[in-house]
Amino acid sequence: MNPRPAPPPELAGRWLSKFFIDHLAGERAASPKTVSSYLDAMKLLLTWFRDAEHIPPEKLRLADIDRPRVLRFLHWLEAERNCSATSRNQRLAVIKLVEDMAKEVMQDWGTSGLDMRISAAQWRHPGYIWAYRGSEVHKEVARRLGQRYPDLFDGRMNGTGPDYSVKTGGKVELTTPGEVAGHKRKGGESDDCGYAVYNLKNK
Amino acid sequence: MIVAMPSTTSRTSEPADRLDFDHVSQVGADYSGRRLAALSVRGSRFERCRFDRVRAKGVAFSAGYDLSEYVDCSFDGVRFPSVIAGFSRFVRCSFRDADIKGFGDDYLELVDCVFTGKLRASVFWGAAPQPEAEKRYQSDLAFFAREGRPEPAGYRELARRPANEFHGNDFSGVELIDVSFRGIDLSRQRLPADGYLYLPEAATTVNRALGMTSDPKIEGFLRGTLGRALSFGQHQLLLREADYQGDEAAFALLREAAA
Repeated sequence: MNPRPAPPPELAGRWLSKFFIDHLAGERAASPKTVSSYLDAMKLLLTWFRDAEHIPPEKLRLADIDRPRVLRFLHWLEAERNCSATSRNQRLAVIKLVEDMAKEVMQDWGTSGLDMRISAAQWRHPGYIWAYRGSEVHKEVARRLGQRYPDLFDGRMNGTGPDYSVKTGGKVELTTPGEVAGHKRKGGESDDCGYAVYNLKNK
Repeated sequence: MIVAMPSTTSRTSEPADRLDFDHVSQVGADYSGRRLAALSVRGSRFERCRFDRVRAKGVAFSAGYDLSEYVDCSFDGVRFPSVIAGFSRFVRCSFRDADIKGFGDDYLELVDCVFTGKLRASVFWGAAPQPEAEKRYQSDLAFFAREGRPEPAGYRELARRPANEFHGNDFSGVELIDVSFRGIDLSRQRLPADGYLYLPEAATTVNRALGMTSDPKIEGFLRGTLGRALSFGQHQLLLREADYQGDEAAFALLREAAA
């Protein structure tokens, strides 16, 4: 019987096996749970390379695991695979930060402070003034979070408000009291902090 | 993803759908035509850089505690539906055929820039509005104390800057949709004419108009909307008539009072 030929050393599979067997389980005496979670992540990575990059595991080389691909993989992981308890807890922690910041802005500025930030044309529409004020809360929350927690937020906005979706792995929205009421009427799943509500449909 | 980098380097983190700059200095770079989910800048400087025709869903021109500066840069043809300007400063920048929403910010500085296209839903300030700016600064100080972090170098000077430099800008070819100026000397800018009412001595004109009418609706507009705008120390008013549909009679009266 012919022995199975060893894979070329530059193939990623060989390197990954060595990493798990020698480094994690041996040198670091990692727990079976830790090794298992790393293996799960690697399985996801290999699956992603197969499906998104059309590189099957047996042909994956270390050079293929470059920075742009890893970033794309992480983005996909955040956007599509938001299901682990860890990521859920991280998301809830982020939501708490957002909630606290919204309260701080409301406390610092109050209604009149928010009012002065909207345009003269917007003052003429009292029916919509909450929405206009709400957009100013969005902006200030995004700004302060971007300043204080640069690793979690970057201060950018999407089309409707601060964009927390990337860092939270799901849909998180800061809205006005009117929108909160409407959302609840429709049976939406939400956490209410008085002013802000965070849509956790993807929880 | 934010990548911490030392100042004056020129490295960037560029996933396919976003551009991040963290304390970088760029000269002559060209990012034209990019389609982005996000453009995010922290404490960076750009000179003679091109961002022409960039489309980005979310833009933070300056997201950090320090200044981001753009000198002789072009943003022609950009589509930015949502912007945080933060502590950003633009000098001799071109925004031709641009469409930008929410550009105004408490500390935005614009010097000798030219705009055509559309600016939407923006309030430009000659100085950060008080007392809210000071309250924000005090909140930040409390945060630093809670976290055991030092106050970022130079932040105090930025946050308590007495005025924003804002002059020499050419708005004559841009449509200012739902835009207000607060504490800004409009005589030092070029302004659009058609479809706008410009009141160079606004307080005098509004007072004169009030003496010429007893219509409660017009009085409400003059004292309420315009009076509040004047209360921010704005000496000249630029009003886009399409933003005030239903107040045509007040505009006619103001024109008569200004004549």
